[in-house]
Amino acid sequence: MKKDYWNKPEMGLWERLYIFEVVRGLCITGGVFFGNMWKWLTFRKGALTAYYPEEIRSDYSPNNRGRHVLTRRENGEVQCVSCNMCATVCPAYAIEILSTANFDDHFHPKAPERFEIDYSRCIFCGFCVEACPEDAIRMVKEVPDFPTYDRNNLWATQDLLMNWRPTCNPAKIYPAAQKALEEVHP
Amino acid sequence: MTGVFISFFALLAVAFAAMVMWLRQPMRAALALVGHMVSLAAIYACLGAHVVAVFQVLIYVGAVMVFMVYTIMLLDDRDASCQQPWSMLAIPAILVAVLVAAALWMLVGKQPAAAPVAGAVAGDIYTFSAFSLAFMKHYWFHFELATVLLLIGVIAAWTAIREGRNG
Amino acid sequence: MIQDLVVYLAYMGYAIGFMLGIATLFTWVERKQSAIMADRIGANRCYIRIPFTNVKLVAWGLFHGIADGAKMLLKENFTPLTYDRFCFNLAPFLAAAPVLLVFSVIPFGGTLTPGQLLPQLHDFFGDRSYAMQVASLDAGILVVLSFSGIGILGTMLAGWSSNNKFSMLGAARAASQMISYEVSMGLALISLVVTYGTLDLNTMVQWQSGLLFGALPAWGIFTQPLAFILFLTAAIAENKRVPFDLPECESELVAGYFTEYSAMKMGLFMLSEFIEIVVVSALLVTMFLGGYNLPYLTDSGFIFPAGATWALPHLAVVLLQVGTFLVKVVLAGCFQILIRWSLPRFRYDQLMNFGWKFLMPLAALNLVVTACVRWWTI
Repeated sequence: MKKDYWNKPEMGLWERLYIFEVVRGLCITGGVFFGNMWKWLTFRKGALTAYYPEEIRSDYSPNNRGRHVLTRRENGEVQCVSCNMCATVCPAYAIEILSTANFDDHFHPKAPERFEIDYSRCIFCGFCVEACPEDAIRMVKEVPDFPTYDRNNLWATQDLLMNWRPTCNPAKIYPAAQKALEEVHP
Repeated sequence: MTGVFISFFALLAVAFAAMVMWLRQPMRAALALVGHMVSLAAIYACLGAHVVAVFQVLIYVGAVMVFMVYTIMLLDDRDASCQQPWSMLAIPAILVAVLVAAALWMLVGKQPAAAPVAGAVAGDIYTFSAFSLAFMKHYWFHFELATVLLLIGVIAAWTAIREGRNG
Repeated sequence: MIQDLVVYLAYMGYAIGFMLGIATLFTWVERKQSAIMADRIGANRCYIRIPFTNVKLVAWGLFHGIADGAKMLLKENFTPLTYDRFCFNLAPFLAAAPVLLVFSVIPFGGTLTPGQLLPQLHDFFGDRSYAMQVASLDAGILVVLSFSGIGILGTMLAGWSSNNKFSMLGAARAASQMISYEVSMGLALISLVVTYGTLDLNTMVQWQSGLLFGALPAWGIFTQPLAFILFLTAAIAENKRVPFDLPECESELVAGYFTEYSAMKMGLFMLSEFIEIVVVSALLVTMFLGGYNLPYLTDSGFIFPAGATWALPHLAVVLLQVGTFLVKVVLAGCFQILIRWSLPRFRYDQLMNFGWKFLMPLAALNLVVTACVRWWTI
């Protein structure tokens, strides 16, 4: 018993003969082939694909979560206060922070000595950005230099994170250290 | 040179034939039979009868053995009866084999040494057109008789399908 | 005698190199052509670095075939728990060897007179001349058919001895499909034999060197257009490629009859599939597209229908004929790959119906019409 489907195609003689429809299909695919081939031969790109590491696509969404950036203060020091919130919230345990203390700097006594992100584990969820109370870590839309042949190269150091795209938030004003000391102990 | 090839392929054919008898797994026996057919075809080719060689491969290997292998493929040959190395039927089989060998030996002794059949000289190629002319002039009736056999086969297959549908 | 040996060894080397080289080329063409047809770029990451420099030779990804081969050779050769290891190991060779043998009867050039190629060779070769064909057999087409029949055994053996249901199903499908389509392929070829009046492929090519109606080359595709389509369809079905790739369709049977194979044994199956494309293209070219014939080219040079002639040395003629055959084979293979990336897969009952109820009656009809025409015009 053969089941009849509601969308059973109605085929005329032309479609039943099959061979002419096959030739039509071949003409369509062959036309696409020759069109794209002509583009390649005239040094245009006959494809939508981007060669990823060599060629960055220009139309990333502004909301794209790409590589991390550690923002700086005006004097160029890292804004991070080493509170470890991002490392705590990170679901992939990709962030490692080693703190150091500078008690002369009263507004910013604690800072990371090493701040490293393991991009072989990072899942680009953006939780670290949302958890940060100091706006010290951000994600920008570009994703440069990720592919590598060695997994050790996937550890992003603090230098890299601070310097690959220097970012400073001018709205956030930090007084100079001496001035701050005067404010606290007048 | 041709003699060396012929004796080599003859030995190969005998070895494969012995393996068809000897091997217990049906698939290996079938493969040995394929090897036997190919060696026979090689002997024909060495004798210059390319037509017969090609038909040997085309019909026996390409058609008959393919269907045999197909059937063996669909059977479960891990059956225990295939593992039994010997049965009592081996004794009459060996007796008959010995008798056949003895008869062949006697025949070879009786054969006059010289006078090979005309046209069967090695290297003298028996062309396809000569074959088809001889076939269509002298053997067309036998060929048509074979079609009766084919008709019987078709009817048998049709009946088998009908039986399968009813039962 | 020694001259014959030299020439035929050279022919064999050329034939093997031709098949393996063009099969490797087709692995690249298949990727690249499908990519261009689908607005993609295709495989282009494989490169050879020129030693001591930083120059990377990419060559549009041509080296991917070599990379594939190296990968296949270096992988683990895994053997599943099977009840017949001997058959399991034999099957890939049984599938690949007959395909390689088929090429021996295909002529890849006209007549070669080595003494006339270069003046230095004349002392050694004298005035001997050889047809450019490895084995000039009287029963050319039948050899092709019989060897492709042996190839079925390899696929069946592979599926059976893998001890796997997918492989088994694939082998059953492959065997039924190949047996079914061999019938219509044989009938299409017989109508061709009736037209040419010979089974020898070299004679067929010489028959096609003439002209139809004064200008059109007398190729088989013009004298037997229906047989061309029938043979192409049946040959693609024999080759188990899309739209007839049911024995190895990925969505149903993983990889069909060679699911359990790994490393170079699997590579042999893939390679034999690609060599089969080359062989089918070579057969198409030989029987329907004029073989090594370039229109208006004869053994002494070009003779145009208007009466103009252009004499060429023997070396140029031989190179032109061999090159023509090569280019035609590559183009025919590209056409097969175009078909492979254009059509959807058949359902199995459609496949069988198409083979037995459509192709075979059409081939038989073509044979009857050809025979009648031949009878009246002889």
